[in-house]
Amino acid sequence: MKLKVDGELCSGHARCWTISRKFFLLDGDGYNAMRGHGYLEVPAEFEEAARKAEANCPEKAIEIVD
Amino acid sequence: MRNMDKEAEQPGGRDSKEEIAASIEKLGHDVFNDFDFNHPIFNERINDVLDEQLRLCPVARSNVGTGYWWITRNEDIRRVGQDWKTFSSAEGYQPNRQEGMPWIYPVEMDPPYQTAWRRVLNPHLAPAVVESFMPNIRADVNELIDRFIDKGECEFISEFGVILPGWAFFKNSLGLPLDLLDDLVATMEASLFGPIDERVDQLKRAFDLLDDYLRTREKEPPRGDMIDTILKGVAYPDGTEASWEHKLGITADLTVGGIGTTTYVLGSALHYLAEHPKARQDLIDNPEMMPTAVEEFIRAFPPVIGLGRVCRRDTEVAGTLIKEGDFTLLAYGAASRDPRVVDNPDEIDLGRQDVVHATFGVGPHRCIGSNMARAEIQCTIEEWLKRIPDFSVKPGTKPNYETSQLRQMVDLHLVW
Repeated sequence: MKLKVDGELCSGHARCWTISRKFFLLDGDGYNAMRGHGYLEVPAEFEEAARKAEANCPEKAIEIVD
Repeated sequence: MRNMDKEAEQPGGRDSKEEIAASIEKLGHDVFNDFDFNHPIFNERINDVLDEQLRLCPVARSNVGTGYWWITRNEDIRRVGQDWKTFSSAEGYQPNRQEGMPWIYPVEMDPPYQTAWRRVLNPHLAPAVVESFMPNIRADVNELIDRFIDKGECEFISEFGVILPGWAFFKNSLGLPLDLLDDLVATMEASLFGPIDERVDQLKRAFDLLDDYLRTREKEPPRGDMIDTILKGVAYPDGTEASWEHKLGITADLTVGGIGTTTYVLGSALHYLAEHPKARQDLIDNPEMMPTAVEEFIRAFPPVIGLGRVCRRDTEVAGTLIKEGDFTLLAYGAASRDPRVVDNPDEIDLGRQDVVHATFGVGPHRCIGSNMARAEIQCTIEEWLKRIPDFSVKPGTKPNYETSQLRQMVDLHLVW
């Protein structure tokens, strides 16, 4: 599984961080640290968190590709 | 409503003209073609009105003043909120803006000006930073509870709900002095919910209080709070520096956002818990439920009902043509109960797995204090249930509300 956080759409709601603090790190402004970094590999242990974050992101900024 | 016929053609839809006529008769007012957020029916039956708009009319029309569009569906609000180039905030969040109404920023600014401010203000309210304030917020929750616990009752809004958000935000982040809180709450509230012809003067009074304080702080050594960041200012990409008017408007926006909104969620959550003993017990027995429960309360009780944009070029939204120059409101209060994204939106489910809402807005103007609001709500519910696990609404009373573009609980009498 790969995941992309859109650099324009992420607005710092931090819902993903609440879902998994281990996987979704935030930058100093409170936005997803992965935003604007393209497709990144999701380790198997975080696949469920990634799907949940995708479903809960109010901006639909998280895109998952299996 | 320019989209009536188009709606009727949608698959699964019955004759929407007939349904709309029936709905108007049921509500006793045409909330589709003649909507007014200041109309008493909106205050009295807000969820019925929003649900009917969501069901039958994704873009309602108001004829108040120069008129405005009222967008309700979650997906449309997301698209419009994110498209700040087409839907600008620079002409204000209020339709029919009154002469002399002071500007508040960055909500009434577009990028890159808005971005320049968010860049310096965001770090003060990032989740991990706000989390470090939670012990202080818990202590404040307990200090307020100490004041009334032995009475066996309280009027929650005045004795807790309007105070805690001010204390939490002023003391930990913003840096305004607590002795300004009462006057700021009174003037800001009157500017939002008071008689319409007094709203400008009330907001000007709040601005005068903030102006005096900023001028005092300008002469003092820095403390590292948000006031210092505001006074330091920002440089805009066009080479200009933020003006005093911008700094004052930033302070005002943060103040009204910090004290005028979370009170409603706190009051609504406590009201719900007062009437649902099982929900109280669930939260006491399962503390790990709290983050989703907090998010569900935020979804179910949005304090900001609708914020405005001005359309910069003709654009279609849900089949309705919005023309260049048209004032358009994003009904966040509706988007958080859109059945297209929330199953059984009327049901408050504290264990709800996916909580999708627009209570904090969508797009670059996302509420900067969203993490602070969550912390205040979580600390309040957790500490309250430790101190007062069993409580109810005082017999013979019920909460009163005020609604305009924001919604407010006026009073809530609790007993234990």
